[in-house]
Amino acid sequence: MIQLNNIYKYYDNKFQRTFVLKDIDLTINEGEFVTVMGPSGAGKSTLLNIIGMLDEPSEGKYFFLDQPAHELKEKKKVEFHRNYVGFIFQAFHLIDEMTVYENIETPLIYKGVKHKDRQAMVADMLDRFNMVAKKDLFPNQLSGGQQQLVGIARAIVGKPKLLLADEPTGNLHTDQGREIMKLLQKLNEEGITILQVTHNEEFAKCGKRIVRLVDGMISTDEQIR
Amino acid sequence: MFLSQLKLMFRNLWRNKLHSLINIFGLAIAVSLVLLLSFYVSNESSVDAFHKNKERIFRVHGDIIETFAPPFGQYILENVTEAESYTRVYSLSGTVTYNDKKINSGNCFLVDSAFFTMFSYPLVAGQANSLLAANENVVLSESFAHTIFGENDPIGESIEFSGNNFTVSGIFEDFKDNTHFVKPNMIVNFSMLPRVWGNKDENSVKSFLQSYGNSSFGLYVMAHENSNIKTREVELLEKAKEFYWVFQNGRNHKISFMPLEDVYFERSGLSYIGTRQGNKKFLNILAIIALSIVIIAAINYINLSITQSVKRAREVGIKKIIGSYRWGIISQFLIESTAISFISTSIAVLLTLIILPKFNQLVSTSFSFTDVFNAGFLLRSIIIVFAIGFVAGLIPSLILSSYKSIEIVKGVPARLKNNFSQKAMVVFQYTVSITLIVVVILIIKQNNYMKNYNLGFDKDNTFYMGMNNETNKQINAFYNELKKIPGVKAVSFCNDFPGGSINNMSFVYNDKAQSFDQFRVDTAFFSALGIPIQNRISVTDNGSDNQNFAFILNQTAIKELELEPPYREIEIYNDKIKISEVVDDMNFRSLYQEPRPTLFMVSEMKWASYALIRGSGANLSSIVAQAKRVFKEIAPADPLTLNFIDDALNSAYIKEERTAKIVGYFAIFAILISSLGIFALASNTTLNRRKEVGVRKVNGANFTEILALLNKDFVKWVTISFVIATPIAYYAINKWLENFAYKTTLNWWIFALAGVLALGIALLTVSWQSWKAAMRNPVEALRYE
Repeated sequence: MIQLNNIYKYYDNKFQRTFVLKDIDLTINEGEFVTVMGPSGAGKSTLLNIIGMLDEPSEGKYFFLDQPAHELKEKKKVEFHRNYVGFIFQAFHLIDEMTVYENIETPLIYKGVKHKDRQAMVADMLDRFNMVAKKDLFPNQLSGGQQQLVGIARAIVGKPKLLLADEPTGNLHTDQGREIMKLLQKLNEEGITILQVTHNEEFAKCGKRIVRLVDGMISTDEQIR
Repeated sequence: MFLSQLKLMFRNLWRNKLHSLINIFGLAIAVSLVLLLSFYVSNESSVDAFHKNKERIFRVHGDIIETFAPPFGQYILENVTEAESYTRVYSLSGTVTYNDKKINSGNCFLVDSAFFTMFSYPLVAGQANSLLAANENVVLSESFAHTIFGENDPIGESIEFSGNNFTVSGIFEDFKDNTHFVKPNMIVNFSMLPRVWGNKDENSVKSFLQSYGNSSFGLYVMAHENSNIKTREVELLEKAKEFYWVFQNGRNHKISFMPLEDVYFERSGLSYIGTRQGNKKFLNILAIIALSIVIIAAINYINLSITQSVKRAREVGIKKIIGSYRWGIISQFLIESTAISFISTSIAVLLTLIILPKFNQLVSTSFSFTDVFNAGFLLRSIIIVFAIGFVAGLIPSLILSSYKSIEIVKGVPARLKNNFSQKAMVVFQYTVSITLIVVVILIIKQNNYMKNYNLGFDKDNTFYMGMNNETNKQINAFYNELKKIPGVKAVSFCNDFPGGSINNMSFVYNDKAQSFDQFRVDTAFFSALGIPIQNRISVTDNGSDNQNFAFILNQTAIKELELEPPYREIEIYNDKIKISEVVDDMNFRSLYQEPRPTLFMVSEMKWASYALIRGSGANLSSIVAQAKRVFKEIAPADPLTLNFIDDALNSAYIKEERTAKIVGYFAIFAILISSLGIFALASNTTLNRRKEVGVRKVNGANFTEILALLNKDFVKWVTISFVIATPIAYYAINKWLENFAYKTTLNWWIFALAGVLALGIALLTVSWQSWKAAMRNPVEALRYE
């Protein structure tokens, strides 16, 4: 599903080149649950953003579903975001002026789903995450855990093939974090490919494979389950 | 989608109440001003457009005169085949008597019977072609008919006007502001003019109507349909040269037929032929100001939106990540700005209702709500909504939609570059503000200069009263009673006075055409106006025609006539005139023009149009009260008109005062809206420099240093604006001062004052934000990193 060949990411200053990622080769198949770990500044988030097509590699090739993603035009990328990828963020990144319902509904609108179908799909999500009663509340009226649930609901409502989670539990209490991880595991069992970045060893083990980055390079890559 | 976007917009507006309020009301005020001004401008430019025959009606003009002698209209009708009909127009006022009621007539027009068929003034009663069929017919305005007759039917009733009996033959609707004629109260037949003037002799009435001597009547000609009367101008001039003095001796080199719709802005404004002058310059000033105000408000909208965009960057980023095209973001913000523009315009329409009475007063119009709210108004409003929505929404939407979603994800708080366009916009706003301030100060200065200018006579403490039949009959008693009032220094009777109508005297002297101001006055006139006279003027009534007059000329007259001292005698109209005295020039007219050559014809006045009374300044109000009492005792039924000479003179400057007031109001609005703009901008700058301020404070910068740091930029912008505004204002002022023969001086302090004012207001506005920033705990700011 995802194939990275010799991916470099660097920034040029006046006199020196700062590398964030160096010569990354990585293949992720459908149905995997990969955790990316590593110290601050190792390039975890950058890797995730390149895979999510929010950022572009400086060098190297990236194939998504056998398509050369590094050659995609801006419009194609939007299509990619609409149809194949869902994002979950540490800071939730919900739209503050929208209710829970509207936040979950928005990607479906962009996807062009009809009103009736949207209603059914959003209702489904609310039902699944036990948030029916909270559908008219605004994000700032919810706890962190609940906000992240909305974030996940928004990410998966469009039935993406890939879910990218950048420290999804980073802003949560441990209990809330465990719940979120359980949910991710369940989603993975249902067939969604998941790539998460975390600092937390316990949550890292929820995945099936752990990739460790040090100074922009892959140091270890182990299958744990 | 559309609805959800609107919903989102309202939630955003509500969240940022202060910004929203500034935005919407700033825009609303600007739009309402523009709506009013555009209405006024369109109204002024469509003056006389309602006449069905407007294409065929022309006013006859020379190159320097616009009035002609009574028989000239008939001459044109007989000698220019294209002419279908004509009407002369003259305006005067007198006393109307009905039963025991005596009323001042106000404007009474004397016109020809074709007047109502040529022009399309709507009638309430009567047939247009028969209204003035008989000489003794009078047509009244609706409101004046009501004043005289109340609820009774006036048709067929008889009234007396200046000693003649008239029968009411019809009623016309009151004239509106959309014609170049000043609203008349009544209209009678032109051929009645000599009788209205008091001439009862049949032969002299006839000779007046057939004489080319008095050329002071407006003349309108209607051409046949599909004819080109303008091609006959040259031929008519050649013919007229043979017999009509105004075209001889190089007085007028041209005859032209001016299309009716051009008359209002071109050459109008002669009160004695009942017309008023449109002011294209004033109209242009208003249009420019209106445009500037809208631009300022739109700039505010743009600046505020860009500032807000920091807060909305996250929304944009997320939307892009979950699948929105850039176009989707742009359209969202365009829809928002259009919606805000719609809200503002709706409020603006309401504001227009509130401002309208004040506006009427300011521009001296009488628009009603129903006048204003027509289809054109609606159309303009809709155009404004979309124009502002699009123009003001475009820049913020482009900036906002260009945010990279990656930055949002990285958690970097979106930071707005203080981009050049924002600075440029603020500089524009302040340039306009400073220019307006300079212009206002100068207009006020020029007004004061004119009011306090030494005119060569003493205009203060003298007032005039209109003389009627009764007061003239008892002129000696009237004089004695007035003289008895304690404090009265002089009482003079005259036909002409400064600030009032002044008779024009045209004659040829040594083959050169001359146009003089002519004053018919008595000997007391000079002391009543404090004019120094060296020789004692003796007026002896010895019966001979010219011996009972003393003639006085002013210096300009001497220059015009090229006389050499000693000045003894000149010959005018084949009469020998003995010059008794030469006086200095005096500004009897407004300071728009140099003093004109003037001839005073001094004699004992047995019949006068006006009484001039000079009192001592101390008890002027009691003198006025007693003068009124005297008048009422002698002529209890006559209408009383009384005014001060200085007021009458200053009324020439009302237009300038009005301009000053309007520009003043707009300057205030411009500054207000601009201040709102930099207020928002300051909040943006302080937000952007939060970290810098934090670091500086941690490293020991004190409160005043931070304040100076944050205010520095704004001082710079205002200074740049000042530099740009100075030449613009200088040019505008010089252009405006060209209107005046007497100009106030252009001091440097006017510019300095405007600059300091603008800077002060800007600093006040900005410092509140800076102060908050400087007071903030640096830990708060640094935590974000």
